[in-house]
Amino acid sequence: MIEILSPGLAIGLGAIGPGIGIGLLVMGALQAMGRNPEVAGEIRTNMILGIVFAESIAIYALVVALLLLFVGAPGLK
Amino acid sequence: MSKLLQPKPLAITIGTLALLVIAILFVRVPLPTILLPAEVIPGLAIGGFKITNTFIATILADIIVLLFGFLAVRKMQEVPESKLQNIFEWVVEIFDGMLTDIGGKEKARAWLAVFMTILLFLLFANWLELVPGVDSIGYIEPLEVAYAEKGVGVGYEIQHIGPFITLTNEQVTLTDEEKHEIEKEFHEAEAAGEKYHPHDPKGYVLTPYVRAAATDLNLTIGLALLVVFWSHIIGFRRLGPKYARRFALPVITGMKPIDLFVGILEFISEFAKIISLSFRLFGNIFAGQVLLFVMAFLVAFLLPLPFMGLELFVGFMQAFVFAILTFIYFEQATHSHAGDEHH
Repeated sequence: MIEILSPGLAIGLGAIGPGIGIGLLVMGALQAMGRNPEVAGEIRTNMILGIVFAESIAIYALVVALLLLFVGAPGLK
Repeated sequence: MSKLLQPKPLAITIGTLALLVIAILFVRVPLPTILLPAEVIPGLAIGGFKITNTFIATILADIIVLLFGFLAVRKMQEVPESKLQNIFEWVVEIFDGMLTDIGGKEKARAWLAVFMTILLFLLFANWLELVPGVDSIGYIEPLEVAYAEKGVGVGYEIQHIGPFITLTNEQVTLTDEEKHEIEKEFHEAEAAGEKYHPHDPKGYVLTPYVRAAATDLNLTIGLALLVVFWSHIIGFRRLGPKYARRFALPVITGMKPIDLFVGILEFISEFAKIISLSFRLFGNIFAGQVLLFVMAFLVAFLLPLPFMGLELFVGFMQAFVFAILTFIYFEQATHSHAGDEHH
């Protein structure tokens, strides 16, 4: 049971923070684009870079989940 | 909505839905075996060096990049007539402008080649996972052997189509008793110095000849180590011994106590750089691959299409992020600590 639950929990809990972070990031970027449409291209590039960085935290959780799923942790079974 | 009711769009919509239903009901593809380490291809070792399927993908990506680069500069002209040269110039100009914005003209020119190399190599390496045949053409081995060597527990039955062998969607799983039996037989064969062969294989698994290069941690960690070490070398070459000051090495006199703590943080962040660079690339591409597998497994037609588009984007984005971070690390390494260069 715990072998199935732990990867799910790892990615599920780990995705909460980046999800909120990406939401905030895009909100800020869209507001800035709305106020200042001339620099929309530049803001979009930086927004995508920021999203990738926020997303990489979720990727760490994903890697832990994948490791738990395929390799397993010592003492888990 | 009214446009949707005209005969042609209506026919397309109904046809698409019918195709989806047929796909869900009748066409099923097996879910490929998902393994974290790269699979060794038997009978291809050079000396003691075992060749894995991700290694082949790396070589393929290298060849593609070299081929495109060679073709683009084969007949160089001041005003290019060949489309490929035009495209290459356009791409290089875009990124040259971007790097100039970040680091200034001199640094952009110095490291543009490194940037473009990493970008193009990773781009083709990541897009390789979308090519038909990658992850689906390979060698078939008995499930028992796969379980004994790699711990794979699910296999499929096979069928012969002409000279080819394919997996069917008839899934086969091993029971606990069979697993114990296999382990026992495998150890006996190993002790006798023979290769383990099951008498009557229950199922088969497919190991692809080519698997996207970045789904192997060896590649991503190798690249990340290269980039981070290179940034230190650049720092030492440009700043001299002053570069060591950021890590609070006691070579330089006149250090404030706070520098020690800043230095420890800097030191840790160097390791964080390696981990985040390598795992970001690996995680994204591996997850993308699993996503494509699962989507094709759920519905064989149409459903994987939008995800392939997504993977096209993710593949480019990750290559770009890796390359731009390389440039940023190089650029940071040449900043003198505490801004004492600006006098």
